[in-house]
Amino acid sequence: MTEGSPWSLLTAVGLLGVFGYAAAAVAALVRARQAGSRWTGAWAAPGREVARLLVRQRNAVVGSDRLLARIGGALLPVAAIMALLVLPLGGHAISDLSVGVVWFNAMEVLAWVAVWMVGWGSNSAWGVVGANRFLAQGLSYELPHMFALVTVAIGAGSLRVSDIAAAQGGHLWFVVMMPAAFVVFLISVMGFSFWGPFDQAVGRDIVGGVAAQLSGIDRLVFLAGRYLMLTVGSAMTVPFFLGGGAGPFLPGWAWLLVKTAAVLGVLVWAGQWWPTIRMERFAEISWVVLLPVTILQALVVSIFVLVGWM
Amino acid sequence: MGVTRALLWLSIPRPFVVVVPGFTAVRLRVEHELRRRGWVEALTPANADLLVVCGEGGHAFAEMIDLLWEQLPSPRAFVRILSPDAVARQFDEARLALRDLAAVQADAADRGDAGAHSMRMDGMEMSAVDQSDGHAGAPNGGHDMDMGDMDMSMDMPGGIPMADRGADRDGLKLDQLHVPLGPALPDWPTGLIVRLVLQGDLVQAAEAEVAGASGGPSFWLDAEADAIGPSRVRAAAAADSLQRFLSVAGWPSAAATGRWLRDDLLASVPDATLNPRFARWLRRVRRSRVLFWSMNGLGEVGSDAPDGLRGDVSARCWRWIDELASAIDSSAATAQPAPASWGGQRAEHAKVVLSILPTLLAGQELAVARLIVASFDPDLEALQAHTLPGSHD
Repeated sequence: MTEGSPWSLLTAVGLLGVFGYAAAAVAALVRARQAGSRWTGAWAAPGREVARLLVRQRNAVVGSDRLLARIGGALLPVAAIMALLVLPLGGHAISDLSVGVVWFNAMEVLAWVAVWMVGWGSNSAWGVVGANRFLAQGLSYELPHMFALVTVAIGAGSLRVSDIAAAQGGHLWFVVMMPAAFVVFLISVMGFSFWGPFDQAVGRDIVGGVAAQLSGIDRLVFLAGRYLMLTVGSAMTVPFFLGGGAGPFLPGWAWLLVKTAAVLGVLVWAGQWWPTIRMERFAEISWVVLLPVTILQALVVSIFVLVGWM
Repeated sequence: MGVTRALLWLSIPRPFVVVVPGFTAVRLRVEHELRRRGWVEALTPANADLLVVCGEGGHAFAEMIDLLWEQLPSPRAFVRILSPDAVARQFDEARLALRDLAAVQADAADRGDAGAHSMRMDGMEMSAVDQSDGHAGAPNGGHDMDMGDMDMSMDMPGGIPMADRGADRDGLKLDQLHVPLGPALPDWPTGLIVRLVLQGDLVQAAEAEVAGASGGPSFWLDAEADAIGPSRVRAAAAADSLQRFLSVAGWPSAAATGRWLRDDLLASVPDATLNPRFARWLRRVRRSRVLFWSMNGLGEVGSDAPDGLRGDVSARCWRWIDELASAIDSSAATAQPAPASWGGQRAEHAKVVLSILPTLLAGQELAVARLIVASFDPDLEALQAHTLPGSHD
């Protein structure tokens, strides 16, 4: 696999931005439809929100740790872009590491510290509650998430993301071979981008939690980071479970984009159609159901590999 | 300069809405107008550029409004709305004010950079009620402590005293935060204040009280006597409570449709033309396993309470759903007999809720505490209208 040029980096980050914006716009559209508001302008709503945040003062509560909170907020989009580096865009990842899966996992774990720093640094009880909720959420989704990744790596016999995509070419996609891992992976994507049913860290019951005190550019960076995490998570689903760029007629990169859009669409839809799951209940489900299921899934896939079916 | 002007022009205002008890009519019109314009409410003043105050309260409310206003970063605008008919006009004016570059810059220049404003001890910005001695429970009066009056000691971060510590349920010494919920809190019963002692996000103790003077008008009671018809008003009241509850439960898209339904019910849209979307919406809420799984068994109230309050959070939520189902589905419209005194019942429920909240909330998580309060949604206006001598029916 060839290493990418600066242009491919720019293209990839640009595409990430476009997809992230589209996710925000679709969410705004659905919201407007549900509220009976005018929805024709919804495509522009995220852009106008950006305009609003750009001209606003930043907010700082007395005694807040501004540096900590701002580093945390900036870490989120940075982590998303770093995770993007190992995504094979039409066979060429920008940096196709031999341990790409581990790299992706490490970047996703950065979200933990980023969100916690924002919440703690804001010196608000809402922020601290939100930050601690996110840690509890992380503890709940992370182990099943890791077992899902392990299962994928076992199935492909490699930790390199492009190898994983290639291992599904001409065979069954991993979504068929390991459906439980696929579902758990989607859940954890919503988990690390605190999206939809897993948005307790920024929940309405704690008036925005981690984001309660954010204003202006700080809020913009934080929210952008959230959408980028959601997008990069959706994009990674494609090489992991949906055959990467495999598909008829279209070139590989186009299939990657189409499949990413589909996964992102499903996640945005899920965000609108499910209420938030309380942390207590999710922790229970995740430790009692998801974790054993993913371990079993890893076992089954390992047996497939040993027998030679994969 | 041109860029700033363009950005100001492009931005859609995000209002933070504060409701004074007795002005529910204004709140409903404000929410309707926001929905019509597609303006999304801010959850905190920090993210708002428009402070919308529905009504006028006493001294305590004025103080709270000042404090909230201070927390809005520039550019910002303020509207106080006293009559439902003025809502649209005042929103237009506020929008123009927010686009006025010169005024916006003058406001920002006065405030220094980075919008560093004074705040209460732990940044809980939701109430004018002070936090340090809040649990002593001085009703409406004791707001004597402000940032300026505190001993500024150099070893305290930002001159703010550190949180006290107390034993938690496992016998560990943990920080205690005194956090008042309300009265300026989104999706919160108008005029309710619940003072919490929190350790982490666990409620150690709670006290409930009513903000504002008694004897204001009660929107739902007055509306019931209106031409819309009592069953419509009852359904609209149920929709209002349900949309709040759904919002607290973290389902904003369903809550938005609930508001829409409430507005249509109050606008006396004929039954036959009610959007079929509402029936689908109600079915979706009803069948949401995730929603009910997430809150079954919370906030159980025993049989010594009035009928309408018994059961857990889900049971109370179902009562609103049933009420709405009979309103939307016209074939079942006559199924529900009207209670003899709906207003009296609302007042009684509010009274009981105020007395049982402290025991129900103690020991719960913050998320559960909010769900429990939302599942009661006490109508304090009705309570105040009914405690006036001679006004009960």
